[in-house]
Amino acid sequence: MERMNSRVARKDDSSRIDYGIIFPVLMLAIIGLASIYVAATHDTSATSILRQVVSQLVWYVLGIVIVTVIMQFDSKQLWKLAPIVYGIGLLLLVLVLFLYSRAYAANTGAKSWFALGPFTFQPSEVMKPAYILMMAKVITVYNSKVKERTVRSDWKLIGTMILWTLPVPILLLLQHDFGTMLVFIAIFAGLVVVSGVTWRILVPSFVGMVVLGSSTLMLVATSWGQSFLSKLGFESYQFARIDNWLHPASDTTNSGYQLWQSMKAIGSGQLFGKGFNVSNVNVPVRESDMIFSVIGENFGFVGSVVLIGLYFLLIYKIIQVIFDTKNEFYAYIAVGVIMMILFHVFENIGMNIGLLPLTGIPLPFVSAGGSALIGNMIGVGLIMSMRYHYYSYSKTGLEQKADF
Amino acid sequence: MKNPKKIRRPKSELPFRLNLIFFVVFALLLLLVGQLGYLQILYGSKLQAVVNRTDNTVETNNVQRGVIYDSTGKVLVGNTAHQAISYTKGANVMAQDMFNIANTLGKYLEANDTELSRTDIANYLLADSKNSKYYEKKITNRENLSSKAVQEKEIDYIKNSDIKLSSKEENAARIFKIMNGAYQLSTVYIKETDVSSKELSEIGEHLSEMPGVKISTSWTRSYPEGNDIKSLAGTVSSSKTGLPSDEVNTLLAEGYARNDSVGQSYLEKQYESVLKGTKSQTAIQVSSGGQIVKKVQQYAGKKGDNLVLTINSKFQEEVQKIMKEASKNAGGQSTGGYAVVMNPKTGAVIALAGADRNPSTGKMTDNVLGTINEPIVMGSVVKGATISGALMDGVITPSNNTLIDEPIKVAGTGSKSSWFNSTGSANMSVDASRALEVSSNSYMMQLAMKEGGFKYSSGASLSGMNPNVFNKLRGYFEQFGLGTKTGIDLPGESSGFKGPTGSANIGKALDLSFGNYDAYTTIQVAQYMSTIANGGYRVAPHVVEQIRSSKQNGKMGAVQKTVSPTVLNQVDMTSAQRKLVTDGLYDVVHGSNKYKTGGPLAGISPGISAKTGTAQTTTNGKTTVTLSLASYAPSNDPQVVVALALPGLSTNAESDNMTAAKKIYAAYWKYVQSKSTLTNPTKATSETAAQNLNSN
Repeated sequence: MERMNSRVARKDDSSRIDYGIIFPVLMLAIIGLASIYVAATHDTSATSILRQVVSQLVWYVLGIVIVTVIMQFDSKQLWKLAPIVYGIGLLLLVLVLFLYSRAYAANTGAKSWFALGPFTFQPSEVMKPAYILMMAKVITVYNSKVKERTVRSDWKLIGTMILWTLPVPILLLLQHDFGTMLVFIAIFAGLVVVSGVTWRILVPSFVGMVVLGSSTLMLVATSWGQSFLSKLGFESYQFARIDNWLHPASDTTNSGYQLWQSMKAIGSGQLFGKGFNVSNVNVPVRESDMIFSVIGENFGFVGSVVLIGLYFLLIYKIIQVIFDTKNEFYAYIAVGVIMMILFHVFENIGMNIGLLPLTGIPLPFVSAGGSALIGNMIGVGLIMSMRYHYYSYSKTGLEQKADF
Repeated sequence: MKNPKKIRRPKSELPFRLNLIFFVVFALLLLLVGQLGYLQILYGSKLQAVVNRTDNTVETNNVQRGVIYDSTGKVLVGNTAHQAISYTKGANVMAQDMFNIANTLGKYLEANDTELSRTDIANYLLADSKNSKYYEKKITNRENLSSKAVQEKEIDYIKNSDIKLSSKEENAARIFKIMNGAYQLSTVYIKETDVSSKELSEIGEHLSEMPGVKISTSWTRSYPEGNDIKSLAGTVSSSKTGLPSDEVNTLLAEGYARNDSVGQSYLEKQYESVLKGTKSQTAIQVSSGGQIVKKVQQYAGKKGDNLVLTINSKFQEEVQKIMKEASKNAGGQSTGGYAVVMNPKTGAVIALAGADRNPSTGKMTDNVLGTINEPIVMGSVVKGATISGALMDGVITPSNNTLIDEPIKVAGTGSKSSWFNSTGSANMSVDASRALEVSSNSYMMQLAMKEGGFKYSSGASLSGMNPNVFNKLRGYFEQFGLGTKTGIDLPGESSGFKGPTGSANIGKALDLSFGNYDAYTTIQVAQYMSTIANGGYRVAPHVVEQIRSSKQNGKMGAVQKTVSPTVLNQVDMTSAQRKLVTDGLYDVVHGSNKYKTGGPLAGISPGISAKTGTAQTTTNGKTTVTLSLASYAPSNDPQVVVALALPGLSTNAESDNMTAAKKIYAAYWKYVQSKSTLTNPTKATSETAAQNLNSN
């Protein structure tokens, strides 16, 4: 196989750095900075254009530092670190319930931000890689203990995974951060699939989820369903988002305005876009969650497909790392990172183009905002460390036993 | 197998599942690409059209309306600037924003005291989300209602409640009402006039807190020479009253906004397109918050063009006063006084005076336009046209035009005669000029019968007369402007009033011949006398001399258009025929016959030619007379025509018309034209005018 040859061929230190990962991330960073510049140029804000772009750049620099640091950890160290970072993450999620930024909560309705002077920080963003690490460890431990897999043992595995997962969605619900909760569910689902759980469980579960999802949608879309759901504790703004998603042009004055503006901006970009830094449609707060509207408007269908292609390339390269390193623990981490990126990309672009309802999910490596970027960069750091240390093992002959 | 549920799987399960994940990644990203293609390629051009419609918005702003000047350059209708508070509604401004702005603005500004309905109060209160949530709780069964239905119920709830606003809230609610009524990206005046300097300075300091609120300038019409001119200039709608309801759809189609000012009557209406100017256009960029961030002026706007009238305001004022006094002093059943002074060669109207009098209360009302829209039975004043018609018809000729003035007796009616010869004791032979001098009714009736192909003999039945005589007489009259629209540049002109015709009314043809049947407007009489004075050209009267642009400093700018005389038709008479008529009109004033009717006018210098008129009328059941007069001066080189009418006078008011005419001529030579221009025989103006006439 080709990778066997390459492993032999590339033995120097520099080949331990995975440029296949760096390239798409770098491209996304450049697109992100350019898009933030466009958004800042056309919007009114107290902060200057330069400051908005530079502060994002600073976050990138910080991200690169974090990637470099994480690369130093090998799989054993990550193994040990997993419960610690998971614990710290949970602690932060609890703390934010008491110390959340009042101003931010008033604006967004979510109690999920710390604020220290001009800096804001969302602990749930760094909780994502911490959770991925912890789950990878839980699955690896369980699979190594259970030699003979049965349906019962698979249920037990799922039960264990749920137990370790449960505190996170509960804390996120308390923060009123529904969107981030969905990210964890996506990571969970991806890990269940790769953890080796039998199809006898997986297939009925996914069919059940599809049925549940579509019936929920039906409930939300009808007025009797809405009154039923509101008795269960759902809030009217959540219905409004679904309503707007189903009928984007019907109510463009209030909550549907943002979506309708975004769809107009992207749609009017047409095949090749309007060109860099042209904006005829004003999309509210587009520098963060609606950043894709800038790309769609400026670079059109071609530019948007290139962007999606970059994400595809990134995920492809991550999967390549899994196959190259043949380490079970690594594989679960990498799948967690893939699911995290995939869900962000799919939900974010999907909501920008009216495919999915609006939630507060940023576009990875592109949207303005420090904590989300740091979360994703930690993910990149984990992947980079795999390739880095895999070769160091192969050099020293301490190759990990891969359970492939 | 110990356990039947044991699962055996090959070791290669993980790579397969990784590939599955990879496939899901591919499928989901492909789904995004698919939706993007739908949105950007299939739907792109449609969405682009939507974007063009809503986001590239152009804001227009009103410009100052054109000014109306008199012939001497005095401002008759000007504009007064007011410091005003305006509000421009941004794109997608939320009710809550407007609620907050209204409350802030309400702290500094006392709104106009307008009526607040319960609905207005409800709209105001519910604009605030806190209030809205509070009232939402009052709605029973709200879970089962759509958000719109809940909103309606909330409005109903407040409408039916006895919720009272504090005076502060009421003020804010009034401001909110105006803001709420504005269209997106349109500007409304929250307070147009009477904004105090304290209000201005306080609002100015807090403008940044109130996006969309501006201190701007509003304009209202002003009348520096007095409000009398309104009855000629007309009025404009204000931004408060909005467009006139009967024309609102037409005007909206022409691009007016609902709160625009538009000319509603007379000159303001007739010359609306000239006076309104062109609005400024500003391209607006709207920020994410729906606020206006960037404004690029695309067109600075152009102040309305100015009108320069032919009216001399000082003289106009005098004539108005003269006619008002004439009617007022006459008292009794007098219904008003109307006078037109115009240049017979150009049709320029120098004064247009009119006042209505209410006979029962004696109240006088300015009604300048009564001169063009109130038909009056004028009496003998029309006889110049009767004789001209007969000459053109050929029933008399310059060499054969002598008839006997005698009372006319036809079967079925009483005898009709000239004023001096009701019994036949003053029978005399008169030629055409003499008939005018003494105002012979008999002569005119005989001309009518001749034109009707009827051979008169005392007591004969008129049934033999061709009813076509009405058309003949009126046809000749109309060549002079009597009984037809004069073509004056003002809306609402009357063509006069024509009595019924045909065999049954054949006797009325005799009355028609001496002006006692059809009714004419004063401007028609002026046009008729102008046509005689200028040698047979029926010239359309006009009150606008020039249209001129505005300079930067607001002064009159370049001439855009000068109104040239319009000849509507030419009367086909030989100079010998015309001389008969002009000699007669001269003799009315200066003749030697003891029955001449215009003797009291002889004192006017320079000398005039004239025709007086007396019509028997009934006003409020009482027998009254209308005294009229048509004249021109100087007789040898006519420069000015004066026509006037005083309806509803008592039967013994013999010379009110001539008294008024004397005063008008005196004022004319004092305020409009210096007599010295006449002693200098260059006659430049009249020659130019004559050339103008010929070229038309």
